[in-house]
Amino acid sequence: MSDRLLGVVCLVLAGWYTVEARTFDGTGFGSGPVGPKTLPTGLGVLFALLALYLIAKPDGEPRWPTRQALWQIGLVIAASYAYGQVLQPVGFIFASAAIIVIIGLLFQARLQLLLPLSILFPVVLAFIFNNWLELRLPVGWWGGF
Amino acid sequence: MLSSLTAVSIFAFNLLDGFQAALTPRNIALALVGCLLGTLIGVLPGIGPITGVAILFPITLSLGLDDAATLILLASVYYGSQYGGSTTSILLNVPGEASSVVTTLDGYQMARQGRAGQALAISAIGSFIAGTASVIGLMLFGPPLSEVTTRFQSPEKFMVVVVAFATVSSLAGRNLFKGLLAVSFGVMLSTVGTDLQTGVVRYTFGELKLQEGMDFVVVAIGLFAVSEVLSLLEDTVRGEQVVFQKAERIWVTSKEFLFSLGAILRGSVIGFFVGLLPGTGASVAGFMSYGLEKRLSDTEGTFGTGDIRGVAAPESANNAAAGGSLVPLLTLGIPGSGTTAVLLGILISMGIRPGSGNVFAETPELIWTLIASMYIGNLMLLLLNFPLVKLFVKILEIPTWFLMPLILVISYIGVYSVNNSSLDITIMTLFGVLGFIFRRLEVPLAPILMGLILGDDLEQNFRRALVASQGDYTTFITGWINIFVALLAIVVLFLPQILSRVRKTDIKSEFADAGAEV
Repeated sequence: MSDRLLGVVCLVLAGWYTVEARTFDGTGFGSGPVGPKTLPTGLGVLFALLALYLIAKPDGEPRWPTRQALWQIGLVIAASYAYGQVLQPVGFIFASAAIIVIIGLLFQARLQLLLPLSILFPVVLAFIFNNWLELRLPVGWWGGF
Repeated sequence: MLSSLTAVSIFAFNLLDGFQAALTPRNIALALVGCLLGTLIGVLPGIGPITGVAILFPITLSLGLDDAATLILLASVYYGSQYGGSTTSILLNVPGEASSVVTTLDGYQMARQGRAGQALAISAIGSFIAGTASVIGLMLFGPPLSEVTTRFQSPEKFMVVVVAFATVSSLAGRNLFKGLLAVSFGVMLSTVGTDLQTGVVRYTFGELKLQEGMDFVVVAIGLFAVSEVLSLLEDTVRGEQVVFQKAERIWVTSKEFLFSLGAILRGSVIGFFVGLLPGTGASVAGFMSYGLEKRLSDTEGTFGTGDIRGVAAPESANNAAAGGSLVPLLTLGIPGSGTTAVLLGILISMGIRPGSGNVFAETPELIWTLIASMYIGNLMLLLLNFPLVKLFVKILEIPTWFLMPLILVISYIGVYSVNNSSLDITIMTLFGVLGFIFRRLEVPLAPILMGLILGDDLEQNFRRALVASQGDYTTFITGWINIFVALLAIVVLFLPQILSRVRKTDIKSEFADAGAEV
């Protein structure tokens, strides 16, 4: 069932990919007998055929996470997405501290050990990157070193 | 005869130059740091060699090092992480990378019998000998092959990429079609962004930042690191834990060494030649040499119960293959594994395009420095691992609650530093989810990365070939090179299936069951 579902998703993706490819205008400068649409079109068709094969001949069912695990995995994904969103305004140190606490708790850390780490680690990293390496991490609320 | 001797001596001189460049105090220090970091990465759960090299690459760029130094550092990380992967295979029964899957068979058994020290020692010694052999092989085969490939035109180059895709799809997982699906998906990702020839913008959803295309570092870290964190979280929820064996000190007696020497030498030769095939790599070499050694030497049925030769053979072979796979990487631009695919991505971003020119002739300093530094890395690992194994074993005791948040934060820095863009973190998260689902469904991940990195080459050569032939598709099967390469593609696609049927055992299932990170 899972493979069939993957096949269906891939089939939809292939359809969209191929239709989209047909809109690329390759008649301008630099195009020959084959333009920017040729390879994507062929690739889309190949992908669709592979997807159809999956639907026709799926493998056995994999072991999916339990409901509890799924919930926690969802939380990590949401936290990771949020991290990308708040990194610029909030800054590296606070965003990282928050995600360390969230992930650490999910991995069953003790809070009294996790809290100091969650501040110490981003501060050390930010110090190293901002001062010794040529990489500026977003400062945000912290100010600067 | 004389001319070939002259050629070999020129390469030897080049290699010496490479050693001279690699042996400055700064570069030795970088190799040392790289080996240590690499071993650490290989030993730690959650970051394999692919993730390690992918995360470290943008961070290395921020160090402001020159190209040669960057390559030395990352090549040492690559070597170190392979060795670290063997350590966890032996002590934990958890292979760090696909290439050390076979090592678990006898290595873990040895560790359970209290012989972990011997297993680790023979792995280090075998790797060193094989590394030496493969450097010699690389010196002999690399430059001449590179010269042959300069004669390749677009149709040949296109077909070589096709073979690489065929091999990686066929060997990466249990199901050939899922391998092909993965590689096609990777090529689809490579079409995102501005088309170089016409300037047409493709599949960017109107997002400006996507016009430059998908960055392989972002995709690699998402697919491998983030999805691994998710998988480990699931294990934690389930309460699963691995039991590791201890190693007090690393040593082998000269008797054990001599007993394994044949396996080491055979493993080195097989490994190197398997590595030469485009798109295969260390993991296949390990399996082949183990299979051969079992057939040749296992007269008492001791393989699989802790036979030291069962560790020596695959460990030498995977190391020799890592060297051998540099030949297709540097001459054709075809990586043999996920990690070498990342190395290729790094070379390309340095402006070195293996496959489109003779890199041995055009950028000899850099290439020979890379080769020399891999050799130095080998020697360093041999010297480091004997005294430091206890420390590395201690690393295995670091709790996951401490490691996982750190890995994730370092991944964020790596991804963020690529373009200073938060969008990349979102894309990384998305690929993390995809990677997690794909692992469950046994869709192999390494082919996605190869498709992404080589997809551009595939398309450019495809189009150039068709322009030259005025739209005639038979250009891809015209000429003996193309016919040979096309046949090779068909053979590598279907050979494992046919062999499994003939032998009535599924070689690839054994491989996939062992939990390879491919």
